[in-house]
Amino acid sequence: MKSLPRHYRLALRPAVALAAAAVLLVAGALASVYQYESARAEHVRQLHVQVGVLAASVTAAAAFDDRVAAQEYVDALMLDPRLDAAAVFNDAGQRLAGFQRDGSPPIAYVPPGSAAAAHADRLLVSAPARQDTTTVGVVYLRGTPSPWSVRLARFSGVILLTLMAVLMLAFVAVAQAALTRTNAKLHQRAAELADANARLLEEMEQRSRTEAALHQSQKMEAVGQLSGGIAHDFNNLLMVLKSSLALFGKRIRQDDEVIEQLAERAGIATVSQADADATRETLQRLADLATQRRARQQQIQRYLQTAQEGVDKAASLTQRLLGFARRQPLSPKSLELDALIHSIQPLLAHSVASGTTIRFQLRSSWHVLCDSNQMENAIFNLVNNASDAMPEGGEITISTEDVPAEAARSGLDRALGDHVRLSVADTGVGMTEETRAKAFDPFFTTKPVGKGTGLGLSTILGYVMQSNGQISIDSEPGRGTVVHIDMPRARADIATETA
Amino acid sequence: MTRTFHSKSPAANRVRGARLFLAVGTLALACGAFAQSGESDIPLEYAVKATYLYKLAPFIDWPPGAFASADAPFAICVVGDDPFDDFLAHAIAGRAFGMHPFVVHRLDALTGDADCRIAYIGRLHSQSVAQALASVQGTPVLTVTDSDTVADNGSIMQFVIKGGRVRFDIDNAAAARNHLSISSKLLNLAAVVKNNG
Repeated sequence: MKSLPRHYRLALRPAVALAAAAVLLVAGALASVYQYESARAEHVRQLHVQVGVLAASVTAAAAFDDRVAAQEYVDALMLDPRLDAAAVFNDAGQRLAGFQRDGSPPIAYVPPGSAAAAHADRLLVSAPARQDTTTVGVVYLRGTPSPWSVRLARFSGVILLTLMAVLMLAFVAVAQAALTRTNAKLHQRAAELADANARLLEEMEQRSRTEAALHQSQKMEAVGQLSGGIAHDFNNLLMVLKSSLALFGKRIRQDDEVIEQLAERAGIATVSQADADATRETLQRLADLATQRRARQQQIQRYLQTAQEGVDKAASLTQRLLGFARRQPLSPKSLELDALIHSIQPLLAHSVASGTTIRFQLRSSWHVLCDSNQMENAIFNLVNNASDAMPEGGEITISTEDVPAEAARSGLDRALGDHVRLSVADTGVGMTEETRAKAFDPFFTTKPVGKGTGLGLSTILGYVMQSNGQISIDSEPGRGTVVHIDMPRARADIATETA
Repeated sequence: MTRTFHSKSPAANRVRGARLFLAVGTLALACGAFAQSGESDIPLEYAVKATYLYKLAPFIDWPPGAFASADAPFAICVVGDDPFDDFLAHAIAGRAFGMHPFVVHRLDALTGDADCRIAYIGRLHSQSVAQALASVQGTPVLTVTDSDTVADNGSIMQFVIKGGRVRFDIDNAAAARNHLSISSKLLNLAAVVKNNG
């Protein structure tokens, strides 16, 4: 047997209570009707018995018009308080005796067979006074309607039932109302909770985003400071190394010419004075030594050169690290990006692989304040990255546009005010979100070992930040990458324009 | 028990006397109705007595052989002078005691073969009251005399005037001699009941 679902049972409860109340009421009503009818029937039955007794008793008195005797019978009967009136009539319809309570009308004689029969009043009963078969008169009795107290007592049961039913209904109604109210409250609370939860989730997400950004920026800051500090010291050390190596090279070449000349001359002497063997041997040996020394020096020079190249590379590296750490010396000038790009356009075209083309969409006219060399470096770097991202070739689009502050897309852009957006887009492999998040980290690279230093974007980031600009990446795997550099519009430009 | 309410206390008698005039008044009205229908005038007293005569019938326990057949007439005989004139004949017209229609016979003398059930013995000329009573002794005949005309003489019932009203005395022993028993209700109304006369 399947039990009803919980909510269904809950819904049934008031209905059950209502049905129970209705049943109680109906039962009470039926019981009261039955009780009322049976009590009335009993009363009428008793009236019939009493009128029969009276009729039998007064026959002689009725027959012989003995009013006194008839009245005595009537008076005796009227001791019963449930009787309201009584009357004895002889066969001629003359009233011989009678009685009625105060305020009650006397009973009128109704000729036998009259239309206005005695049933107009259910409590009015009559019986013929008969002796044997001879009717000598007629007797009437009228019952007193039950007093209110008796009727109330009789109906107390149904009144009790009704009260119970009403109480039950009231209880059900109150309980139902309370339940409904509680349900509504619960629904409201649930909705509020859901809202709060949604808000909380949103805030948590926002917070985690902010935290990630903060974390990233702190990380960059820390890495920048560390690498900047190291690079600075390393740079100084490299300078020492470089100058030392230069001096070393210079010193090691000192006297070389004199020794060479001497050796040459000794060689000639050896040829001219063949008899002096000892001297010849010594000189020969000296010439050999000189030759060996020359060979050794050439080796040393090579090593030196290698070392100097290494130092130069290290210096370049430290320079870029300084750039990332925003510690590189910049000489910003007010310039138009379009003009700058135009000037390096041929070089750019040559810097990409053969299958790759570069498209230019230069639509900027505002000036920006930046170091032109670094900006060129940055553009070359981006183009290089774009080219590397398209091993099978593709198209690189370099575009510029003026972005008024009111047209800015995001809050960050808006904070920048009027700015020029330089975008380098490729149709390459794109980046995963993970890669994109780490793209600016120093030494992070997706290129094969030896091909990339992992400092390109880091250096650009440092440069752009140092120039009060912004840099951002739009990328999805397989859909290419766009790097945006937003440089604030130069104040001088604004001044010129408004002037 | 009912007997208790019929004790002849002096107070009850006073009440009865006070109500007599009302009764006489209603009877006068009834008689007036007869008078209007062209009947001869008789004293109210006799009109009452006439109605009493036929009303007595149901209060008597008649022996089984009292009636010749189931619908044999119930004869009320007026013996001697008739004080009721036509009143009695008119009063019983259409009335019956059960299946027995009332009839009135006028007799000069009461005899055993007159087949009367009720015999009212008035002023007699051809026989004495005692003779008349003796002629029906042992047969179911209710003999009624009137104190106006006859002194107490052994009839079963005798009309008397008491307190201005028509009442009757009953001689239960005489009734028993005629094999009649009289209803206790009637006995209750009787002015005097003689049980051994």
